[in-house]
Amino acid sequence: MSQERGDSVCAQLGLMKNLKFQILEKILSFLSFKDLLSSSLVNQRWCRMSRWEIQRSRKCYAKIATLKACHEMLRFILTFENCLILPFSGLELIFHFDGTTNCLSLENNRLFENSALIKKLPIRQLKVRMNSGWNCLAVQLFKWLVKCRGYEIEELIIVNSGADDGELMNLINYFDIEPNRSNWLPNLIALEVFSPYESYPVTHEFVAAAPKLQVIGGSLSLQDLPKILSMKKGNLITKFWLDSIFVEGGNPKAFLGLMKAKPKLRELTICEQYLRTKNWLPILTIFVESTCYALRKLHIQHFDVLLIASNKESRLPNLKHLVVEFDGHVDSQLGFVSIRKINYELVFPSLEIFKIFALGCKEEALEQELPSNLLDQNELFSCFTVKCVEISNDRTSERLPQ
Amino acid sequence: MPVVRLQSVDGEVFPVDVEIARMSFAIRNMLDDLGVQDNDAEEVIPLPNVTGPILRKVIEWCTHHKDDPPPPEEDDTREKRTDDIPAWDQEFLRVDQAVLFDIILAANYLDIKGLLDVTCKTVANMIKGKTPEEIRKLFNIKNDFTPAEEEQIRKENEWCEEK
Repeated sequence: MSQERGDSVCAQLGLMKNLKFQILEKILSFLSFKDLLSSSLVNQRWCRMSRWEIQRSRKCYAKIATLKACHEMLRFILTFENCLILPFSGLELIFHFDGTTNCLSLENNRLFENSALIKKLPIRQLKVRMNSGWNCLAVQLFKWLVKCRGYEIEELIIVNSGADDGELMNLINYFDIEPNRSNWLPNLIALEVFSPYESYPVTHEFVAAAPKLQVIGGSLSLQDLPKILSMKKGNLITKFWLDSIFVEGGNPKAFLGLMKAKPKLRELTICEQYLRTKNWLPILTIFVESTCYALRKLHIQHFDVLLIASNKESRLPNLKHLVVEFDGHVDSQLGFVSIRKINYELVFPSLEIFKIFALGCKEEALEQELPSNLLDQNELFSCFTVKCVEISNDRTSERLPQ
Repeated sequence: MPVVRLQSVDGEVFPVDVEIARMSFAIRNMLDDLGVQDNDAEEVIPLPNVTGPILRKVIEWCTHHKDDPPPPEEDDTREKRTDDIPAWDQEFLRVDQAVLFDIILAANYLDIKGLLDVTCKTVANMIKGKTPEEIRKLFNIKNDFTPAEEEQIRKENEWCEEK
């Protein structure tokens, strides 16, 4: 029987209506997030079931980007206040400074405190991006959620991409946690904290509050690391964001401690080098050599990948994803073409994806400055493992999580 | 090879190898509860929710897959794929969709995880990429939303992003 005929039989009989709850649930479990959103618009039953499925098994965030903090929070509360099943499993809060200071007005506070929605928001995953500004409702919401519902959070990602404020220095004070309360994130499994500032290392405070933690990631400073190591949690670090700013003036031996803890680093991002210190090369070598077997993804500067590749000992046998960043100023002196001199099959024998990110290069400049055969796959790789070679100036490839 | 006799709702009786019949957890439990031994060939197991033609299809699927390893445990953290349906199963399930839905109901009733998985994946593939209206049309589902309710659901969905 043809597909069309089958469809019409199905339509006539209304077969889907007879399917039990568990069967429709199973069918929906095979759909993508996008298809689940479509399914939620089919009818009331499908809406309920699609949203249950989203909440049960997906990682999806309601994104509150508070460019106009009060307005956005109000819109969010008004949209979902009467919603029975929310179509997300976590929350993403983006703090901006909108120039207003009346965000925390009495009226807004009352609205916030009285909202039934705020009390039932799913927060298994909580992601917070602090661009700047602290006096907004989203910050207050973040503090309230951690203080009052911290036991529900399983994944916490904090990206500080602009807020240079010492307020976050002491988490107990920041979240207004009772001083004697120790495990205030009792069910946290994964933690990632990214910050370009070394002044306020807070990762170890989160780690200390989370007894069930299994994954630590992010930028860990020389102040954070020894404390995490002393808690014997260094082996949980699986994603590392190594920034030269942390190395400046620091002692590379602190990083040796991390390597002794045998972390199974799967992702390593080596950040933009504002400062090249004399300590840099030994640290880079320590990282690459001691993580070489577990590492799956490496995001690295052009200059540094050349350093690694020139070291005869360096070999990353399981690396699948390599991102190399070109910086216009430094790399035009080195010559973009130097990237072609690396023996990829020797250093990265399992490579599948190779991307070059030309930071700040305009598209026309890319075409003019880079030889057309720069990334000719046939010339660079004779091995069959490489499936994708790309060059991009897309800002979304930046290192901080989006 | 020991045999058990399965009887469909319309009275058709199918002799089936016990090992194949035991791929159904429902039948396995019945056999265990009844204390049926391997040599009780005359024992008839009635299956009041499955018709003869569907039971024949189910037995055909189980016979083909009798040597498969047991399906893995459910794991929500694992990506659920639908592009991994074996070619034989794809051909086997190239049936009228009324039959497909009956096989799903039978697989669920008889508790045959592998068959339920592959049939649900097939239906999921029918849904993928379709608009709500196309899904309604495909399965003859009545839209019981008011226009305002539908608009509200759309607005709510706009806030959500997958990681």
